[in-house]
Amino acid sequence: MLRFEFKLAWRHLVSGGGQTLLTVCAVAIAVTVIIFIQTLITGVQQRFVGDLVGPLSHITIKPPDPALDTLDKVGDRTGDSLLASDSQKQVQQRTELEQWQKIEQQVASFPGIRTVASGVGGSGFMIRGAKRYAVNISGGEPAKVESISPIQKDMIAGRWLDINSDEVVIGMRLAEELGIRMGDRVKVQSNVGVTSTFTVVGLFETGNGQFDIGRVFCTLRAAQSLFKTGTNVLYVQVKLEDPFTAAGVAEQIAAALPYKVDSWTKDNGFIVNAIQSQNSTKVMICAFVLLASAFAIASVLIVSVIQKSKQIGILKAIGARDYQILWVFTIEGLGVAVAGSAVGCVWALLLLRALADIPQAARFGKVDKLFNIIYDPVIFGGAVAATIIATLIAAILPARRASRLSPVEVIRGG
Amino acid sequence: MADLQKKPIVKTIGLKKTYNPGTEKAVDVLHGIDLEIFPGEFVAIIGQSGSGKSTMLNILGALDVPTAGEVWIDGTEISKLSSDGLAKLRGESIGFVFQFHYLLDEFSCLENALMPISIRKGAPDKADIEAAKVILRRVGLEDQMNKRAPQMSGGQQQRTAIVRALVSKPRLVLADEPTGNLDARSGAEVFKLMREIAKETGVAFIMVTHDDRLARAADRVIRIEDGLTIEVAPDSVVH
Repeated sequence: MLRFEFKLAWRHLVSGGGQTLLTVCAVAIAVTVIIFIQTLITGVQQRFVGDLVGPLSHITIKPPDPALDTLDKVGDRTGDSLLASDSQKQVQQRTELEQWQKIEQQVASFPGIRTVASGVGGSGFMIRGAKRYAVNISGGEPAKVESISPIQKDMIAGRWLDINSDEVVIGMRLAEELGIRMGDRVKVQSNVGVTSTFTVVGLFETGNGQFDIGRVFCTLRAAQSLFKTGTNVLYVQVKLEDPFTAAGVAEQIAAALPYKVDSWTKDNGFIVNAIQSQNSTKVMICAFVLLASAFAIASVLIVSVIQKSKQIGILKAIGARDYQILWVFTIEGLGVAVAGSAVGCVWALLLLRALADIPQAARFGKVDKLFNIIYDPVIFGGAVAATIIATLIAAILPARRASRLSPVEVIRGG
Repeated sequence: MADLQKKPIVKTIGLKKTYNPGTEKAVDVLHGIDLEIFPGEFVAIIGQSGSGKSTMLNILGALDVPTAGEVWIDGTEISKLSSDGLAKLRGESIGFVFQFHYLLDEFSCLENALMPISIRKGAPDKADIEAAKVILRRVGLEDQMNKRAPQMSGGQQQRTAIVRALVSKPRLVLADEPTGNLDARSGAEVFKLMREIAKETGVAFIMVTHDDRLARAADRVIRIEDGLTIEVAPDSVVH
């Protein structure tokens, strides 16, 4: 099938020599640029999201807000001396999650959930001698906390995953601020007024300043004592496979369970906007590159059709059908697209490999890569598919023009 | 020379051709031509430039359709055929030789000769290749079979075009000034070859030519004048 068409298209491409090479290079450059831009921006985004969102819980489940009385009801009860204490009691009852193991199981059954971890935490102070510093205390089973806010990779001293209930792990900047060293004893006071003494057994440096200066990690039991929650927890945190699905999954959980469910995107809209803006930029760049490549291919094929019009005329005179001519030039376009895509993939791979090895020096002797290169087959496949489709569309115009050439007019032209 | 026992390979009844019909630029080229051409005949069509010779050849070759009238080629009336139907008829029943050989530069002499079969069947089989080689030897191209078109002389290329016209074993070969682009010696050789093949194979040849010497060597000579055909005796063609 189509043996004649393939043979003629192949001979055209081979005899085209430099012209064919030029067209293949145009497609290859388009594929290279698309893969390069996609990989680079995706890498930047992943690092950006990883750095900013990495330590955050994607979804946080808390007890529902107490149903506040409407103003008319409050008015009715004006003068009731028990009003304030009633409200406090109501709030008190609803600030903890009791059967959190069950909640964890229920939440884990939703799609796209990677890990679920319950915890107790809140604001408080770290006290070292006369110095006090406002901090955010996170208490949980270290392994589970690690799955939500990974700090093991950022540990620069000490240990974290096996801490005891009288031990804490703090950020390097907080340690610097308070002059704390490994093994020092520090006091931690929660916002409910409980103070306990802990030993600092680990220091981390994530690169996120807010996090490194304001976060203290302890065990669940220690946090339950500090915040007086007994065996209850204050929240259940969720890490998703894709952080950008957080809003949707949060809605699903909120609809199914009687708790307050917040997604990280709610409080960090600027990050989502920035990512979306980057994505739009990425798509625009790739679309223009594709367009330029498609125009290059279309123009080369149009020239080729004009050059070959006599040949097309004679082929039609000796029996070639319109569709056969259409196929010849479509196959030529396809051939250029496939060859160009293959070359483009190799070029992109070489370029990315060269960039992937460029180091970036970070603080505390940690060495990172300047570019976060991820060889994603989806990006390579997508670039190839987009280019082949664009090339085929570009080839259709000249191919149709060729198929419609009248043999009489071509031959009469001499 | 017309043999009344044979069915005509080409028959026209009231053939008319008007370019740009129904517009101010309408040009009547052929005014109603009745013509019959029989297998094995070698017919020369002569006439002044612009008289409509090539127009008639194109219609007889199913490259163009008439504005009015009937054109029967190998038993098929062409005016109702689609573009693909015309292409099929051309591929199976008609061979063409043009003033310019129009060989495909990307293919060898043998491949060019086999082009109509490749178009029809996708690729020629062994029998097709052997048949093409026989004709190529017959026209003296046995040493040129693997050469690309640009590597051959003008005469060799035109002989390849003749083999290409014959390879599908058509019943009709149309030649539009087949020697017009060749020097006198090559032209004479090509003409002699066509004349001999017509006799050997029984294929009808219709040749448009300006060259009165060639016309005089044909079986029949048809002059086109004022859009009509006049049959003239070959001997009477004035050189």
